[in-house]
Amino acid sequence: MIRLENLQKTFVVDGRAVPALNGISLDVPEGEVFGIIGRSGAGKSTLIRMLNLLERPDSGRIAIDGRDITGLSDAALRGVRQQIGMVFQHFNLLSSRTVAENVRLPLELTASGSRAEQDARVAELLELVGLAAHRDKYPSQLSGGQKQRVGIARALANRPKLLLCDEATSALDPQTTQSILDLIADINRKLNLTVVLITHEMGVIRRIADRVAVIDGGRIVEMGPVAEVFLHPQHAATQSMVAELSHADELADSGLLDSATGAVWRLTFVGATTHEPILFDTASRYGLSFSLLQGTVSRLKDLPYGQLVVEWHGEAARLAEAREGLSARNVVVEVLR
Amino acid sequence: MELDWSLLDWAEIGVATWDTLRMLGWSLFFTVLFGLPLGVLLFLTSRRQLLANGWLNRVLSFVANVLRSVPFLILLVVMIPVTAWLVGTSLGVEGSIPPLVVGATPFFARLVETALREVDRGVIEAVQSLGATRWQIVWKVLLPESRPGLMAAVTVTAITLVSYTAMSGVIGGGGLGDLAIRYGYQRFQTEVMIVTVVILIAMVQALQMAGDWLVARVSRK
Ligand SMILES: Nc1ncnc2c1ncn2[C@@H]1O[C@H](COP(=O)(O)OP(=O)(O)OP(=O)(O)O)[C@@H](O)[C@H]1O
Ligand SMILES: [Mg+2]
Repeated sequence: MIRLENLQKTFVVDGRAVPALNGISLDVPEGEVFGIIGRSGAGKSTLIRMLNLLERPDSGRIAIDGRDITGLSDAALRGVRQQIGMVFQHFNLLSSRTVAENVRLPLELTASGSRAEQDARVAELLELVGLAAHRDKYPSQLSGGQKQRVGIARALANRPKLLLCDEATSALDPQTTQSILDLIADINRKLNLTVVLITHEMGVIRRIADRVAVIDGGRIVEMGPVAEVFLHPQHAATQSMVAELSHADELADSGLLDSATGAVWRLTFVGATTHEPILFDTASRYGLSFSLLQGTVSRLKDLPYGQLVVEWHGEAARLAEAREGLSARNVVVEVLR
Repeated sequence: MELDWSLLDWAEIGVATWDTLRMLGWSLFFTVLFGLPLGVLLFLTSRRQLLANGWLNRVLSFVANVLRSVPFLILLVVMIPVTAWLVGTSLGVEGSIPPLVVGATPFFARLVETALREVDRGVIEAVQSLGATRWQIVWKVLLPESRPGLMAAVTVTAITLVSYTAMSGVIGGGGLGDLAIRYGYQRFQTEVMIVTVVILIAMVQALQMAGDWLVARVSRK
């Protein structure tokens, strides 16, 4: 669906070169929810805006559906853009138009269908995003979450194959964020729409992305399935973003790790294992006792996972056996102490 | 000084008021007709905008600035031959319209440009991302989104034109200014002066109120 090859971009501000992207290459297959995460200034917005050429790369290739769009004429580029929906952090709705008129705008631009057909399409979209009751309100009369729903409906009006979300939930509170992410996930499933979303919050990636790229200083420093990157982050940038979410730094701060007298392990498990009584089984089988220092049991999109920091007490030989036993049950064991 | 209101020629004041209204109406019409596209072009050709073109922008900007820096009274005199050639006379209501339009158009265009700058860049980008043409962006985004600002610009311009029409009376443009000069100044009929000033004030008030009402009506923010 999307193939980026070696994208480079440097901005010139007051005669000084500000590098934004430095050799970005990636592939996004059709139907995937692909997340891009990075700190402020990492180059995320610059990157996502290149997918519909709101920003032009200095060099590199951007292929959408196998076609390089960097060399297209204005008219051809407009055609491509009509096939790509985009949702923005600050919604970017037209304040002079009602909800329904905002959603109708893309249909007007492409002159698609009669007035009645457009009305029907708008009604259908407002139904999809749950705003049918608000069709005649102006954006200033809506909450942030409702505005973003209008933004999503507008982005979907021309039945795009690709949806780009630039920090779509960053201006929203946690509950509204959840409902917007649910909506995007729902649309991805129902319409088999490819979604590329950027965010600086690991929580967003964890909830809806299939794969993720971590971008830092204009480069991709880590990329892979969310479970892998999230549970076993390699790069320092990824680790710190994951840590914020899993409260791993709190463990260090709490001093529990330093005062521990036994062996401290971080156990990570995904899928069905999450629902098994692993700690109890291990303790009773190998004659160990344990205490829980920290723990998370949650989901990565639809995949349940758990991450526990456990302090064990017992004979060294039995501990070694326990470690093997856990590995055999697909539990990843990291020895912290 | 004793004021004697019985000497006032109300019929003549009525005609002069009507002339001023005609001058105002026509000159406002042409000012908007020429100034709106000029303002849009000034905006679009400026840096980082849709038709960014430094050279064209500098030329337009320069012309607008030159015209705006010429005092209106001088513009009136300088324009006499041009006006005579354009509308056949430099006198009366017809003769006063070309200088009024030339004087007010660059002023209005700048106000339009300022109003367009108020449109959120993100909104323009969002519509670009939907595959809109530049023309569609102007018609469907820039102009509707800046409607309150544009209404305010028309109001300010109309009020400026009221004082310009009074000045054009000096060179025989007709209307209330003409009346005030001929009777109030040259024949010391203070009563005429007072009445014309009161009518001009009422006109400005009415325009401001109508303008404010329109701005409030189209504001959705
Ligand atoms: N139009 C521009 N002109 C000049 N510099 C720019 C421009 N856009 C982005 N930059 C610079 O490029 C770098 C990357 O910016 P970008 O907006 O892509 O970051 P980001 O990852 O989206 O950050 P944030 O999370 O704060 O939105 C920054 O150093 C930024 O200052
Ligand atoms: Mg950004």
